[in-house]
Amino acid sequence: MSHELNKEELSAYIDGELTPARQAELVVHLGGCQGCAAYVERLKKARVEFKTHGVEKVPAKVLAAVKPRSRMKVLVPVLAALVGLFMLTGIAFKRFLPGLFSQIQGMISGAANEMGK
Amino acid sequence: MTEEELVRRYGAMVFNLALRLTGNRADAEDLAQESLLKAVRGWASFRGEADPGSWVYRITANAWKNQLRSKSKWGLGRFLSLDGWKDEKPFEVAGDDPLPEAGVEAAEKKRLIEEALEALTPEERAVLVLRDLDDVPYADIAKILDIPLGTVKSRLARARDVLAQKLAPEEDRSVP
Repeated sequence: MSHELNKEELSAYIDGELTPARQAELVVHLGGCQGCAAYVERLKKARVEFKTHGVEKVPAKVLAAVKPRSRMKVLVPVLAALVGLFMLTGIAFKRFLPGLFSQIQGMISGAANEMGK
Repeated sequence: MTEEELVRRYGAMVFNLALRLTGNRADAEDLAQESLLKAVRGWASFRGEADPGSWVYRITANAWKNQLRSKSKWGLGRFLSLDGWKDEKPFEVAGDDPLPEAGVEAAEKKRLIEEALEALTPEERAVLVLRDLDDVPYADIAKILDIPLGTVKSRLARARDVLAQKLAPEEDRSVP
């Protein structure tokens, strides 16, 4: 039997990447050509095997390295650090500059009283 | 799709593409990591003009080409360095973990696949991975790898032919 098929075309055929007309011609041809039909079956079988056994698991360290950090995960530690810094500053003021601390405390109390009126 | 979903959906494919492009696990990890980081950082500006998968794979392919360029640029330095002639196994895919598939048959299939892939060029392997592991259309593969459509067809046909010879050899029809 003579035919013009080639492996490239049969490979494209199993992907449905030929023109509809050529695809249809091949369907007819494969019905009568054992050699081409067997080759197509081998390609399909190899593809299934490759999909089943040819996939490597992505290493966890790769995924961990690219894991996107959510905004909350970034924001919470930053806020906690700011609050901690504020408290430490207050403690330091009270201990080492008690006069200034009392003055600031007075200003805050005064402002609070003014707002309360 | 969020950045997390992007990594979850395409992380494994990017690693497999990187593995088949570089041919070894250590370089593949670096390439996959670099590509996924670029994708995550650029995701906010991704306009959806292409399929997200094609976009991520293109980033991977471009990163690989840049690595090759950079390696060839510094090739002389490597030649002159004392450890420049370390014997590198071209295709080392087995990790520390035991094989995920149980059974001798699965291990044998895996071995045959690796043998077949060794006989291919990185570009042929890339086309095979994109098409047969993620069903990427030919036109998208052409854009991802920046090659003509005809080259996609010919590389895929050759890669599949080599793979079929290993995994599904032609039955011997000769009469004894």
